[in-house]
Amino acid sequence: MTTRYLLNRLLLALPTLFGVVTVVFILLRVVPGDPIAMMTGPGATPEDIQHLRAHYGLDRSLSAQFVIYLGQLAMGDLGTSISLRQDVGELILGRLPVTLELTVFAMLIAIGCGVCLAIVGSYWRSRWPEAIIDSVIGIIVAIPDFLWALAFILILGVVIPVMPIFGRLDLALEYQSYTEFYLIESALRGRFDVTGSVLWHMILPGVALALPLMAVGARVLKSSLNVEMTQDYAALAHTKGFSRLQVILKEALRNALIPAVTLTGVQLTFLIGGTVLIERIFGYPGLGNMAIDAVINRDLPLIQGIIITFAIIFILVNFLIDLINTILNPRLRDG
Amino acid sequence: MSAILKISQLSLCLRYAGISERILRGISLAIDSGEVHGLVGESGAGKSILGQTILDILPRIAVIESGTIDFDGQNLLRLAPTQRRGLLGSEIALIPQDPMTALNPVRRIGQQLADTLVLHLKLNRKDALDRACELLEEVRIKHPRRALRQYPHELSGGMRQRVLIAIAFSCKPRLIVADESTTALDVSVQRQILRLIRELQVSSGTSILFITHDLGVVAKICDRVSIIHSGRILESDAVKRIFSMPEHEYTRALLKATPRYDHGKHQFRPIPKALISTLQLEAKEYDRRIRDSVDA
Ligand SMILES: Nc1ncnc2c1ncn2[C@@H]1O[C@H](COP(=O)(O)OP(=O)(O)OP(=O)(O)O)[C@@H](O)[C@H]1O
Ligand SMILES: [Mg+2]
Repeated sequence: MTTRYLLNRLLLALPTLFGVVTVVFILLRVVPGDPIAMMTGPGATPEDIQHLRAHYGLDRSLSAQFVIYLGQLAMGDLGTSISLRQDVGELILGRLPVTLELTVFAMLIAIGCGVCLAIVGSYWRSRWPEAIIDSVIGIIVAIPDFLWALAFILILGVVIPVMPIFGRLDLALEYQSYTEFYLIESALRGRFDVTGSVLWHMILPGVALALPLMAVGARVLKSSLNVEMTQDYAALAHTKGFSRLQVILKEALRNALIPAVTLTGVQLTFLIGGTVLIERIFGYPGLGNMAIDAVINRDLPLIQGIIITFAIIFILVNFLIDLINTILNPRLRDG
Repeated sequence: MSAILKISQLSLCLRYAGISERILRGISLAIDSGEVHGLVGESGAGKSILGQTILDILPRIAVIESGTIDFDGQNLLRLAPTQRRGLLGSEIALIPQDPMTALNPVRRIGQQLADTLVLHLKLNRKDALDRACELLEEVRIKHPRRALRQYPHELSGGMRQRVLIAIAFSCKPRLIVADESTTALDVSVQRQILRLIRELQVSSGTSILFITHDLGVVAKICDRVSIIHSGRILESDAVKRIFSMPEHEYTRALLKATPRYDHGKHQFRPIPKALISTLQLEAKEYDRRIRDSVDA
């Protein structure tokens, strides 16, 4: 039944993951640039270079490298970063919570504001509030997240410097974290000064990430709300004595969310991908920021590890969207 | 008997981009308390629009030009929106046409039945669900407890229509608008549903405006009937009288066009085209008179 269907979905993700791993491996070895040359200075002897190549397994044939790589992956070993000389798995686990907190924060903003905008627009259908919302959405959709980020930095960080535009936490604050989930951890430990500072730092990058998803989501949800409001069951709800707002919230919203969730799912993965640039722009110490350093340094193991991590996140997000749709739509549950 | 609903000189038009089309032309109609009043006419006559006017669910393009709808001594068209909503579901209810689309596909039957009970009778959720279960029993749904937890797609069309009837009768309204409530069902289910509506109507004393294009259905369930064409009521009287001595030519034509099973052999005759065009001319004439009186 339902759980079987969801388990199947998860199992189907395994071939996808294998595909990602293979493509990443091949791509990274085809692109130009020698990681060993990057890490050694100009004074290195050919013997040194040879030694290092052997150390990182780069002297073997491609197929042998691939088999070794798969074997290590299966054991959960992502290798050692060439540039940082640390275990890739540990590096990623150290940064993942930072990015997760930022993306979840951005998602909540996007979903919250998107749903509100859609409801307001649909409530005042064909009146001026809907017209205003439509044009605001149109503008937001046309501007990508990193341009919002630059605009925020310029306006709120430089011209009227009211918001922090760099890092995750006030430098003056002393905080020793165990899990790297600063926001949740500090709140649980009662260090609300830290929680506040982390939140304050999250706002600009979070909003920049959230805006495109919010706009697309609001647009899709509003038009499907408008369709649902013309359905027979909505008319029946009116004749029960519901106000227009009650009909939207109690009857139409859940039906309208079904197509909206599916259509905005793609945009949600854009939001996650957007963290790479946004974290760089705001000097946010997350996975995306590390990804750019890894690419600059031709740090193959680290790049591989980060891409696989993102792939797993995408797969989980898609799975989550399926799950939400099954919860929303009772007709899917017997399938 | 006193009229529970009295419509006088109701005119309504639909405004599309620029053009305006009159749908109701000076409708006057009275429904006595406790009666089932049929409203019969061909497709496009304006039957549903009239029902929607009473229920306040007109499409946005509809504009009421003139007239009053007196319900219980107050003009519905003059009521404040909140007052009007207070009557809907509690005093005036709808039995819709299509049981497949009239229930919300993502809400359980119990929740949908509980809505009016919570809203108007101020029951708490648990009491409302208990009452909903009784209501399902009254409309003879086999396993009411289970049905409460089911979704519309798990019920047959006839069962859903019973649920819709239960919703309509849930607050013992004084008027129900039944818009083609049995048209979407097959003949045997249709007969059961008609009997059920009649039974509940008799026991609750509710008046029903029964919209249909089927005179056979009118004969089964209605006390009085009004014939409508092009948004005009052509005649209105007791069913017996209309069936035995129809006054209007269109009513006679309608009767001839309805196959009747009680008269051994009956010839089916379509409604003459000439008659239809006469009626359409009369409607145009009505529109012209209105225009002239506005211009004058
Ligand atoms: N939402 C709407 N938008 C545009 N035109 C409409 C709308 N609803 C009704 N009309 C028009 O108003 C006229 C009357 O429609 P109405 O639905 O009242 O007919 P009816 O008598 O109920 O017919 P039927 O037996 O087919 O249900 C028709 O010409 C129809 O095209
Ligand atoms: Mg109709």
